[in-house]
Amino acid sequence: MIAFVGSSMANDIAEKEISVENLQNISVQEVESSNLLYENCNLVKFRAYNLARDLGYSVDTASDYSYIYYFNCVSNNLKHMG
Amino acid sequence: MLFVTIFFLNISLAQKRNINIQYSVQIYDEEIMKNIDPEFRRMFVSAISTAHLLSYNLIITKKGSKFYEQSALPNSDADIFMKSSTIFSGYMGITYQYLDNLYFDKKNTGNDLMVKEPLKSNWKLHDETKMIDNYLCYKATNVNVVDNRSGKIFNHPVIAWYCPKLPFNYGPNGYSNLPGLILELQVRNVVFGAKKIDLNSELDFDFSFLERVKTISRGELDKKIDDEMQLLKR
Repeated sequence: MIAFVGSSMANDIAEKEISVENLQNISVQEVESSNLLYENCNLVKFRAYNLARDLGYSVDTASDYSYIYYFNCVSNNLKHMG
Repeated sequence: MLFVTIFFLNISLAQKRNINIQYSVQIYDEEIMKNIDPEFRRMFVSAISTAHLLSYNLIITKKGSKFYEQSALPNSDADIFMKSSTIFSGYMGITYQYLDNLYFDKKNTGNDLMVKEPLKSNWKLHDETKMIDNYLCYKATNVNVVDNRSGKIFNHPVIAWYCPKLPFNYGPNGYSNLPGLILELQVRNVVFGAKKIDLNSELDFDFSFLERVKTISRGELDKKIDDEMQLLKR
């Protein structure tokens, strides 16, 4: 299971939507692409978190919100990879 | 004699039952949210339009209260956007009020770890009144301070309408400690409003686990999340 930085909603969604099974039977090249994808999406998540914080949202809310960005980022990219 | 018996029987039954308040939520647009990142704006607008689907319960027993989301949202892949309503409503997770403390069940603290906070204080009580579901409610105000740790401090206004005829110091989403039940609560641009009041509810829950649970302060949790977030930029 992929570990996600604190988000109350994040873990729920992550467990449901992105399972290890989805990442089975992939090549080394695909693994490298996946790593890059997660790194990039983590950056997207970080930016979304800061954006929410700048708009006056609490750590909790910003964290939850940033996960949606992260999820969309991973989800969209996995579709393109698939 | 029969009347007296029935009267005491009623009181006896009433004491065994709990109180359940169902709240709906409305999210309003804000000036600060109008010229922002388009994706963020899209999520926010989506949150406003789907907020009416959200429903929250507040169960009050003799020992304390439990506030939780009773979601009416369907469960499908597309609902990631609808979940933004919950986020933008500022829902704090399942919240218990027990022995003058608040306990927030946040999954991001890890298993068996809950955020523990004292009850809200510094309320200002006002003379202004309004009727909510035939209950005379009084206005109380407070401030929700959010420090974004980048030099900006936001003082979000809080308005609570509490009803002394319902003498329970509870309310939605971690706001309480007023001389009456809070039937309406506005924090920033979000309003929780009571839509159903059941003074004889069979809904119940167990508090005993709160005596064993490990706790963390809000400050500690915020720092933990914030520190982890900062690691993502590397």
